[in-house]
Amino acid sequence: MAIAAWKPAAAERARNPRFIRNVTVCVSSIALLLIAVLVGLMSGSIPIPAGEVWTSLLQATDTEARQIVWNLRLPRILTGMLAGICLAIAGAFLQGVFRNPLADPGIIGVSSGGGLAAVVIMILFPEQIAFLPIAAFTGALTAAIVVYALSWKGGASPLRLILAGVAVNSLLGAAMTALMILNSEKVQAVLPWMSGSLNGRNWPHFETLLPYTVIGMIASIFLIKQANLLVLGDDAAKVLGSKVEAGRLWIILLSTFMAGAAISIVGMVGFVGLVVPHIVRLLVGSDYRLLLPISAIGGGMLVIAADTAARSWFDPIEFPVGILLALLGAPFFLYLLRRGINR
Amino acid sequence: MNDALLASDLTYGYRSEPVVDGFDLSVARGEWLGIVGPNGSGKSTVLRMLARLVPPQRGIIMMGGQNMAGMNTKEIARRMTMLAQTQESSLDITVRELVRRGRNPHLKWYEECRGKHENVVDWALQVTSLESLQHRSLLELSGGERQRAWLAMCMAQSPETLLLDEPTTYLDIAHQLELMELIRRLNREQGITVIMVLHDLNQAARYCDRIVAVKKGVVVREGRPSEVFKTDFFRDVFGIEAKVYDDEGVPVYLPCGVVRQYPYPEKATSAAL
Repeated sequence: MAIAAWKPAAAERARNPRFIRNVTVCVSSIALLLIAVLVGLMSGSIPIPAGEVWTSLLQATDTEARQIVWNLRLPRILTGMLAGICLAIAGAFLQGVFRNPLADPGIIGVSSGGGLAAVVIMILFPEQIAFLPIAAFTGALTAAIVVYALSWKGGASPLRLILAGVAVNSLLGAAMTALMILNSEKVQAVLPWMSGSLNGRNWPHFETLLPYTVIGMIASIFLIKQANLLVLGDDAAKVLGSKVEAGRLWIILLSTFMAGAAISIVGMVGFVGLVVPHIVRLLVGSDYRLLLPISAIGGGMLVIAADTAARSWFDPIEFPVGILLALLGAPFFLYLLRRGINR
Repeated sequence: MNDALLASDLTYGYRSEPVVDGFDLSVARGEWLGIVGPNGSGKSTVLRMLARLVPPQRGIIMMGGQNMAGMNTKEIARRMTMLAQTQESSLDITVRELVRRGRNPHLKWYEECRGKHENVVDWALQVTSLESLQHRSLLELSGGERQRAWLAMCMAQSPETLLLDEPTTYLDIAHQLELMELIRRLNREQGITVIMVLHDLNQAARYCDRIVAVKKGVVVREGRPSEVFKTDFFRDVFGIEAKVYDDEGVPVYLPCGVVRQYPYPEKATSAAL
């Protein structure tokens, strides 16, 4: 092999022309996240100017502004951010593993499994409402494991996973609907959770979600390389020495873990896991070393922004953030798709 | 011991219908071997078994005197690679980024493609003449360029053996020949052993050192192209009538028609009359 004799031509290794664009996207996504947090703290039924937000963040005074900013808005915003991060990372990973741009945490049964468990608690055992997050999380994990097990046939191919997911989803969805129809007088309590809402989310919610998010983010760093190989296709990844089935299982487990944690706290917020990685991919390409962190930032930002809008636009009604996300996100997503097609 | 790859008694199939049935093969170092055969002959399955994409139900594969069943995936990937017929086409990454992923088997789990590994990437881009396209997205490339980019990724693995599964199928004739010439250069200049499944028999004759013909999962003909390309080869293996010409030592065939399967009905009727 003549590799040893080969002298690298440094001139040819010209800087990646995408570099500037990637840096711009990185910087502006972080800036947008910070702006979203700030605007979120300022707006609501009682608007608070930026200066007052700043002082009430830094000083533990006894003012009304401090009460609103520190005890109501900040925990709600941070909880939403963590949920957005979890959902976007899960969506980004799953779209790669399934090599399908329509994949989101719902596809492997996370939403329907968690949803059914939550509905069972809220309708049949309302006195056990404290266990709702644990039940939803367990339901989500169980559904994902069932989907994976059903699709296993000497390996779990993306196509079989998707088909098994569709079957399990419709079964669980039917059970959920049946429960709600049979107990229609209690449906009112379930609806906000079903559409995903940050209403009343507080420091305890944030503290519950934080360790899951941190563990998930750290674990996801170790799966980036694996995801970058899996998107090349199963055969190519195997030829490159990757253990495809093990890698796919780890990525599915991590995605389920993160998405399950998110929906157990904020309910069935859809769309973030689908749309954010998709938009980010249009901006920075398919390399997970960029796609994943920027999706995480984008997911956090999107949930905060949508929740802020849901709180302030429809005042005094607390509009569920999940519905607004779909209402605003879908047209924007279609616009981007058309642009992507024309390119 | 001089074999790059030695397969013996490879068998694979579904229940009673073997796709590959006791397949033996030995490939010398630096050789370019072409595997040909009609559709459904099992030639692609053989290649996939050699690449360890499907496990053989029986038989063993030795790589440089070592049983491949006992080697780990990365160890094999450092010495052997495969270019498929089609690749994932929706990937928005640069050519260079794709080629970098070819270094994966040489990197530890915590390592990134840097330093001397980047030199190998440069080398792989150079031998495949992709330096000027290295920062383009795969989405912007033509079919031929894209296939070359994936070949560059294979080369970044710095393999001893390159397996190819009909890599020219979806290319026009100019890009087909371009890819074949490129593989010839890699074979001659870098000493890479090439095992290639291919459809175009004239290209097989022109480029391969040796041809193995597969039919119903077994080897039916084997030898240098000029030895194999006889009219009875085309009749027995592919069921066609063909004329074989000689073009400066390279056999060239011209298909003339399908071999008739049954005696002509006219004969039977005329005899009856």
